[in-house]
Amino acid sequence: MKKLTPLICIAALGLTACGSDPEAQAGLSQVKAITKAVFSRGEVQTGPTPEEALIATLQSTSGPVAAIAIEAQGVALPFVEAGRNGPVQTWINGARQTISIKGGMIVATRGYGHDLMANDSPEIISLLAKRQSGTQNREMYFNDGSDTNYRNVIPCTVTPAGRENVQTLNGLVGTTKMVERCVSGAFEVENTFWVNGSGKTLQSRQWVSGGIGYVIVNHVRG
Amino acid sequence: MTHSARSIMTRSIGLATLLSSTLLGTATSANDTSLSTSTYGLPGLVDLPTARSLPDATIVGTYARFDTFNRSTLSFQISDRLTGSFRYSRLEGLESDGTDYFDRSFDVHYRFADEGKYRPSMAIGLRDIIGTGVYSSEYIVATKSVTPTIEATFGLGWGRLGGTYRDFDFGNGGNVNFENLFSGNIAPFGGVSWKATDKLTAKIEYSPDEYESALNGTVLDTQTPINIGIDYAYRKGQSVSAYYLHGDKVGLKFSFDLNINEPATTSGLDPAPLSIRPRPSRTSSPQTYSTDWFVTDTTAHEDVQAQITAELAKEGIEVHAMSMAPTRVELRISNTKYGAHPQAIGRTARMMSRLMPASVEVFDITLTAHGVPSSTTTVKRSDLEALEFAPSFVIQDRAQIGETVNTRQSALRPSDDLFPRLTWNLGPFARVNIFDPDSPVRADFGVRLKASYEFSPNLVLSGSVRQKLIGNLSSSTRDSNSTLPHVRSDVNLYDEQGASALESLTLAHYSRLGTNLYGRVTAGYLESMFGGVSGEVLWKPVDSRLALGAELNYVAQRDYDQLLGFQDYDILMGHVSGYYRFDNGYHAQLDVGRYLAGDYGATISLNREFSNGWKVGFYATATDVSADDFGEGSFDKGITMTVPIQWASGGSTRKTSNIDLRSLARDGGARLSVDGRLYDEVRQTHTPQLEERWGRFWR
Repeated sequence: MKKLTPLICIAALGLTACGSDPEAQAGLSQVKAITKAVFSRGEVQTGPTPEEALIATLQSTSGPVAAIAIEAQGVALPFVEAGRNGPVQTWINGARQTISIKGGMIVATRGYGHDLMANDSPEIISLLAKRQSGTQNREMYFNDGSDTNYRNVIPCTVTPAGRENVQTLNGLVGTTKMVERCVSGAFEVENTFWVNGSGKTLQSRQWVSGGIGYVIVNHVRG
Repeated sequence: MTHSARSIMTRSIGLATLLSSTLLGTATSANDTSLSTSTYGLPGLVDLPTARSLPDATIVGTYARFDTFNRSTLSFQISDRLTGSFRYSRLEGLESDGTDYFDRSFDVHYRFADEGKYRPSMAIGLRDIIGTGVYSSEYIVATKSVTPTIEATFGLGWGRLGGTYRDFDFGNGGNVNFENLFSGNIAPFGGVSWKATDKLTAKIEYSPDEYESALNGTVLDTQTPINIGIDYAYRKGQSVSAYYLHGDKVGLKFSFDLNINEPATTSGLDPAPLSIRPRPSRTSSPQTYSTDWFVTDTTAHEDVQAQITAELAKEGIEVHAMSMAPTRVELRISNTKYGAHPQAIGRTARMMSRLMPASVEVFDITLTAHGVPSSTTTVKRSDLEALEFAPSFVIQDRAQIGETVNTRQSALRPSDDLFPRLTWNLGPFARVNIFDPDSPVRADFGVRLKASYEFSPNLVLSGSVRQKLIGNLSSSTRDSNSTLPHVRSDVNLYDEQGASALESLTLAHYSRLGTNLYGRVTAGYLESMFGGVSGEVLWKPVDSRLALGAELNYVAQRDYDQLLGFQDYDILMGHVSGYYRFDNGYHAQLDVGRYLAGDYGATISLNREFSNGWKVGFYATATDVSADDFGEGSFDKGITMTVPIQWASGGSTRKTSNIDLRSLARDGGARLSVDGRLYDEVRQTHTPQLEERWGRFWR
């Protein structure tokens, strides 16, 4: 199975009694529901399970590790840090695809075919970190069929939506669930960020591009 | 460098835009375009045209069949309003001796009015303008949406659409029959289409064209002027149609469409580039920025060059040479992989940020064309560090693209162990000849060995031999009846005797002759029919849309067996050429000079070019050879198409597929076919091409 939540649980085994208390997991119910619905589609035929792959990655490196799933592909893969440039952290998987994250928000992808080329939305990142509500523009840049970057400006409204727990290697951590709703004409996406007390996003589900769709990120370590 | 508003395209968000990742809106209202085509492969009802256009930059291919009629048509939306079609027909048993008749025809269709609230779309069209005239007809047509799903069409037709066949030109063909245009009977036509669902469209029409051929009696047993049809678009880009013509014959049609502006992937499937490695700030660790290494570390240049050469090789980028100064480094590279040079420049810049000593602040990245430096992009390392996650046009504003730098502070050092080198390739080949007047397809298959020995990046010995294993190219019985020297028309003899052929064996030298000047000399067996010496000079400033060139060749005709021997025909020939890349993607080339048969004249080539690498165009050559001496086709002309493999595959490659649908191989207006012509390679490393694809810099 490729569910993100048990994946984190199993990776955390030995550190905490993962998943033993249904109540404690209630905060993840939404993610579980989403991931269950989506991830039950494809099966990984060969090689290690996602859980085994994540554990192996955690054991083989002492650096930062994230578990990231393209929701439509239904597979959570381990990513390690490929680089850091100021506030932007770039994560890479074994297939040499990268996802760059700034303040919890995905600001670039590479290697997926219909990549997010850039994302300039500092006001929203700021709202997320402060766990405040507000409406600001997202500026997302994509490549067109003629190799020119073009910009989509989407107004997005960020609102805190209560407290939820997120599974980490150190057990369940209380977070504020931040919902970002972006609507423009018939286009509508809803992103979710689980932000801890110091303003750091521990887990998120974000729309990235037309070709990629939603991406689920759990910052497992670092 | 400046970027215009073009670079920062803000598009309104629509579901289609964001969810499909495909965009490119035009100002045209959706009502003026349609992918629903007639049996002639242009927007239409069953057999009749409508006033719609294809969506801009769309190519539609159709194959329609009924009874003994087979039509294959390729249509291209040349501009928002102008559509062009090339058609190849097989009319079974229509020759007087009962054999199949093959026919080639061209149509143009121009939408001159857009649909308004009360006004219909209106278009004018010419069918079969330069062929033999089998389909010869003209029309003016109007189409109006009546409801969101129903549209009505009314038109006036001449020629076949006026209900009369014109006399066919079975002579040379190939000329526009001006005297026939809009002549003879006029008849009204019209019809209605109903888009019942997204996938299903039903059509009914009244057609004056009753297929009563003067050539071979009545073709259809016409019961009624009414045709009916139904289109089923079973998946995006493909549809099938069934239709019932004149109460007599049932037909089928298959069609596909593609939009050049919609590649398989927008950003490509290449592995992610390596990250920029930012330096610590100068204030926090000033010692990092010391330039002492340049004096103390005597092997720094060598070591760094070896490392970056090895690392960039993994990315498909060859480092030919490097110069190194304490604060500035130039890399001279050859991009062997990426269809868009900016992607190679970006990856090179990233690698330099990872491997260069911290004091090196300015990166000069020099692209090469045929091994000679052709442009230098200069970027500041601190800009790269600051803008890694900004949209590409921000770094585009900071970068400078110019003539290869002459202000080098230290000597260029060639990379070790790169040259000389031998590369070779053994593989299968297919030589395909389609749409011949005698046979729709002929082909040879076999194996080909290609090898090249590069003495240096710009001095290359290369050759190609092939062995035919199976095929029927040589089955052509068309012996040349040309009164000109047989410079091309003996192609059947070359095919017949060239089962084992030396396709080419040349030594080529490329050089920079000065600022903005490039040179080439090629000697040897230049192509399958000619060998000799070819020299070329090109003037092309880095930021110029205009280029000028001259080529002079002294060549002798090769033996039919395509081994080492020559025949006793030789000629001094060549051209002066002007090239211009218009702002809107159109490209014109004019060549004036002497052709292989000794005739004098000019060739004009017009292309629509897309920054993703596609080119679609046509060319025509007029020389002092008369139409009678030229023979079938009257003059040399053709349609060319260049399809970048990367467009279809998603993964980067510089390979393209080139299609040349041309007149028959005749002797008038024949050009030499020599590899390595300068213009196309050089200009890809220049603006505006580099700027147009700059969206790949951070890719």
